[in-house]
Formats: sequence, C-alpha cells, structure tokens
Amino acid sequence: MAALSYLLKTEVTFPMINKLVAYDLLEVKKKLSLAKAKTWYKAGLVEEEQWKGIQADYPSDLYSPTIFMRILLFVATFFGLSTVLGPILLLVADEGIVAIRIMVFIAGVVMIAFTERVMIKDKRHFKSGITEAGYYIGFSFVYFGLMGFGIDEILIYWMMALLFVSIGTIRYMDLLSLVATVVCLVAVLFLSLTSILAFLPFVIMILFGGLFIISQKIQKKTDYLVWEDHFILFDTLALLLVYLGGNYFVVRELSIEMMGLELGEGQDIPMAFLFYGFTFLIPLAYLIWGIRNRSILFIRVSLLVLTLTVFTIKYYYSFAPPEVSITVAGGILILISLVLLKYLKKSRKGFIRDQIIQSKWDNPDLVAVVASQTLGGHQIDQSESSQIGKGGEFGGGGASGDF
Amino acid sequence: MDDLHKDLFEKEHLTEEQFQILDAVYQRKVISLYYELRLVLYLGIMLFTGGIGYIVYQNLSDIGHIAIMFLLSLLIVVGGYYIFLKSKPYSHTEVTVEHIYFDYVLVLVSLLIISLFTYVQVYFDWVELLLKWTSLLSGGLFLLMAYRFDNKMVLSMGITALAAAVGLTLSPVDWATGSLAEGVNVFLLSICFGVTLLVVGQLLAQDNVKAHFKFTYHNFGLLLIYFGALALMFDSNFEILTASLLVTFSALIGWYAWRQKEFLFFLYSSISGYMAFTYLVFSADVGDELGLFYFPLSAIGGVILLVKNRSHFSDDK
Repeated sequence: MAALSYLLKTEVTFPMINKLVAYDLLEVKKKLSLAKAKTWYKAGLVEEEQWKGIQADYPSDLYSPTIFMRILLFVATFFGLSTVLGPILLLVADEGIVAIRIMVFIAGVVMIAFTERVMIKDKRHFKSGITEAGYYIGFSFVYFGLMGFGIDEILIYWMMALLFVSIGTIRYMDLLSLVATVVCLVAVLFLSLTSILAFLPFVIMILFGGLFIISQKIQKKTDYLVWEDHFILFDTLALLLVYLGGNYFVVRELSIEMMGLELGEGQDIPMAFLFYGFTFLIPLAYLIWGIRNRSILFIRVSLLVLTLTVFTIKYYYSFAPPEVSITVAGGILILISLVLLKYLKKSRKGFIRDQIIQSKWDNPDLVAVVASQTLGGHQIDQSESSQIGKGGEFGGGGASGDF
Repeated sequence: MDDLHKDLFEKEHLTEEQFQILDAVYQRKVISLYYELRLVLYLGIMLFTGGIGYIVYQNLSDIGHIAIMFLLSLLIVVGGYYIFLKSKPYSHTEVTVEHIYFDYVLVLVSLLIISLFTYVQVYFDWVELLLKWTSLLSGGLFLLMAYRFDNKMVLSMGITALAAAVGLTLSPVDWATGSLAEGVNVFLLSICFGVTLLVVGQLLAQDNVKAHFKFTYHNFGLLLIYFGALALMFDSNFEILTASLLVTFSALIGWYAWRQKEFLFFLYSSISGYMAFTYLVFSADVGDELGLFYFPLSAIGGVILLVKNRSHFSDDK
C-alpha cells in the first residue's frame, strides 16, 4: 500500500511515464488542444475568427493525416513490412529455425528503430498509420524472434505479450494496445489462477474495480487532455469487466467450459443467486450512479451492460417467440427514447437532449451507410426462403457512433 | 478534467459567455444525452421493424392480422402527421429540420409503410404476383421520401433496395451470411449498376439537385464497381482484360478523388488498383524469387510516394 501511494505521487511517477513516451508531449498537447478546440468550432460554439487565433497560438509541428489516408497508410505499411518475411525466409530458409528467428528479430529491431528515429523523431509523424504499422510489425517480429514456438507453458507467451502491449500503450500512446493489455491481463489471470478458478469471477471484479478507482485518482493528477482517450477507454473496459466477471452467463458457460462442470436437469452453478444478483444489479447501479453523479461514462456503460443482461435472460428463459420479443423490445425502446426526448426538452438536473459539442465521430454520410446495412429493405427476393423486410441482422447498429 | 477552455479564456481567445458554456459542460453542470437517446431510438426502430418483418412471415396464422394491419396503419398515420407537421417545403438545396428526432421518425414511417405493404401482400396471397416488385417499390418509396424530406439514411436504404431489385446485394451483412449470388452475369450487373449510380450522382450534383447526396451515390457506386470487377477478375475467362480495365479505371478515379480530396474513394481506388496491378504482374510470370520481393517493395514504395505529398492530406485543415 505504501509503495502504491508512493507511486501515485505526482512528482515521482509522471516524469517517469513522460520519459517513456516516444512522442514530444508538449507538441502532443498542442495538437490535442487544437483538435479539441476544433470540435467547439465545428459545433458553432467558437467563431471563425477565434478559431484562426487559436490555430495561430497552438502551432504543433506534429503531423497526422486525415482518417482515410491514415487507414491507407496503415494498411500499406502493415502489408509491406509483414511481407518482408518472404525475402527473409528465402535467404535463411536452409539454416534452420534459430537463424530465421535471429533474422526476424533483427528485422523487428530495425523496424522499431526506424519508426522511432525517422518517422517519429525526424519526420514528426504522430499516429500517422505508418507509425502504428511500424511498431505493431516491429514488436511482433521481435516477439517471435525472442519466443519462437517451442515453449510449452502458454502462460509465458501471454505474460510476454502483456509486457509488449503495455509498452505500446504508454510509449506510443496506442489505444489498441491498451485494449490488448486488458485482454492479456485477463488471460494471464485465467492461466495463473488455475487452482482457484472458482474464485476467478471475484478476483476479476475486485481487481478491475480497484483499477477503476486507481484510474480515477491518477487522472486527476495527470495532464488529462493528453491521456483523455486512454482514461475513457480504460474506465469503460474496467467497468465492463466488473460486470462480466459477475455475469451469470459468463460464469456459467466458463465454469462448464474451463472447469468441466456438469449440470444436470434442475441443477445450477454454485452461488447462482449471487451471479443472478450481479447480472441484474450492476447495470442498475451503474445507471443510478451515472445519473446521480452526472457521469456520461457510467450511463453509456450501463446501457451497454443492460443490453447484455437482457441477452443473458433471453438465453435461459423464453417468455414469447423471438420475433414477438424483438418487436416488443423495439417498441419499448422507441417509447422510452421518445418520452425521454420530450422530458429533456428542458434541462432536468443538468440533463438535456440537445447536442452541445459534436462528437468527432459524427458523420451523417457514414451513419447513412450503417443505417442501410442494419435496417430493412435490402434483401434479394428470389427464393421462397427469402424473408422480405427481415431487416438488420443486428450486425452493427452503432447509429451515431459515440465513444 | 482538462483546463483548455480556461487557458483559452485567459489568453482571450474565448469570450466570457463562451467560457461559461464550456465550463458548464466540463464541470458536468450540463450533460447532453443527444447521442445516447438517439442511439436508443435507432436500436428501437431496428428491433421493432425487424421484428414485424419476422412476424409477417413466420406467425401469420397465430396473430390477429387485421389487428396488426390496423396497428401498423395507425402508427403510419400518426408518424406521417408528425412528419408533415414538422417538415419544410421541398427545395433542391439542403433542407434541415431542426427537430431532434425528425430524421428517425421518417426512417421509422418509411419502414412501417413497407412492412404494411408486405403484410397486405402476404395476407391476400399476392406474393407470387408481387414478389419481384417488392424491392422495386420499397426502393421507389425510399427515394421519394429521401428527396422530399432530404434524408441520407433513407436515400441509402433506397439505393440498397433498388440494388436488391435488380438482383444485387449491397450488404456486407448478406455477404457474410453467404447469400451472395454468384456468377459472371451478376458481376457485370454489379458493375453496370455501379456505373449508373456514379453517373446519376454526378449529373444530379452538377444540376444542383440535392448536391449533398453525391457522396452516397458515389460511395455505393464505387463499391459495386470495385467488388464486381475484382470478383470478375478472379472468376471469369477474361481476367487480363478485366485487370487492365480495372487498373485504368481505379487510376482515373484515384487521381480525381485525390484532387477532390475525397480520400475514402482514393482508399478504395488504391486498394482495388493495387490488387489488379498485382494480378497483372503475376500473370506475366515474374518468377517466385522476384515475386517475394514484389510485395514489400511495391507497398513500401507506395507509402513513400504518398508521404512525399503528406501536406495534401494533413488533418489540420
């Protein structure tokens, strides 16, 4: 505990973390400030003149491309670097696996060094697609070079992966690496706690609950503007895992899968009532907490886990034919949202229905594409098996893509 | 909690009033539920209309048809009344209705009209008679609503339905579930329909008829052309011809998209063009060893070319 509180001291940890970051944090801050001010400008909160002034005052020398070019650069670099394996194998194929591993390792180190020295330091690329591809492939090569395929203990692979992706999360401020870090952490827990697997749900809930609280403490002390996306993503994942750790479906199915639990007719998992309780109460607790503390994060996560709770119930119990349940559920959702939209016409305890700041993901053209894929009217009517107007297969549905 | 708005206010980039608004947002005194409520409404519409679609087909004998048809009609009338109450007159330019759920109610009513139509059709056993026309009628209705009330969602749904009417599926969701019809004719049809969309979108935009719909037409058009052409390249007897045409076409479109800064279309064109070009290279029988070097060299070469012009696609603007 003493060590933890020592680590949480601003003057100790943050200079250390800042040194770990490959980017120039002052420039990153200017860049992100500008990005944030831009959302205000787009939302009409800031006038054109003011926006020009802000731009002049926050000149960042970091370079990033627009989103689709970032994707193109990522895909091309990723493809180009990973196919380097071809010539490598051609050169040293006859020398055996060790030679291949050494070559791949060297190639990986070269890629990482190039990404850092040239792309990030000299060319000032900031998450340009090239940088991501460079360190993903570079670290994968290094990982393979170090580990090979010969180790029997799977846990070692996961722990090494955990180390690599946590480096990526901080050093390159990479969000995908953050997700991977959480996944690796859960996997390591699974594999290392095999002897007390029955308590794993509680371990997960307590661990991620604790990490969530620590994250709240840290974000008050860091430069929140720079790490905002990381904290939002991590908090979301932590809250989600606290729920999933106690979710009845997850616990039951994993108990059967992992511990070989066999359930006969009328039997239930140990402490079933507890997990039923978690499944119902956690979403409600999130929602109430979110409304009381005006936390949009809790409200969003509560909506997500409420959906999961509904699926959990539907999986084990059926009250009506699925098509009727779907229709009724849809009707209820429409009613709830319309009633709330009417109710929040005026501000109620600070909650309003109107948009204040436009999300950076808000794009009517792309929402339209999503709508045409998830709503009805697009089936080819050619056989008797076709179901006219069957509508979305519940594929996407991220209508306004928040988060 | 960040202090950007405070900093900007102190540096006199923001007025007192602007600072107050932003401060209220960041101090959580005001919380906007705009996206959350609209997302819930959208999911509701998706489930409700999807569920009705199933009911029409599966439980036709169990539930009171007249009751359901009556309910659907009632909802359509109520929704339609709301739409005509709030809507503005038609104009060739962009018309925005400043009402928070107008666009979603429009989508809902359009889908309900189609559900009702399908229901009536199944109930009176006109399926044989009307089956071919369902998608066409849906597409027509969607397009009518899209232009009258200026809605891109309904426009996209209309284009997808029209594609279904000529026998194409525009939906990755359907491809994933394996209902993609195959065969050279389908690929050619896909290309023709795509070209039609491309041309229609361009002409309408030039005549200033809903010029902001151009993206939707071009997006679907290009996707149909590229998917059709790539499938044709891998699956037909005239693959070299197809690949050459595809390289030329994607180079032209890519060049145009680059100049117009339509980078999504540039992305499509680059990837399809690269695949076609690679196909040509390997049909020329370059040999295995050279082939291994082709991929890294060509891809990294492409990246270097792009990065030389990086200021053209910077995100600062």
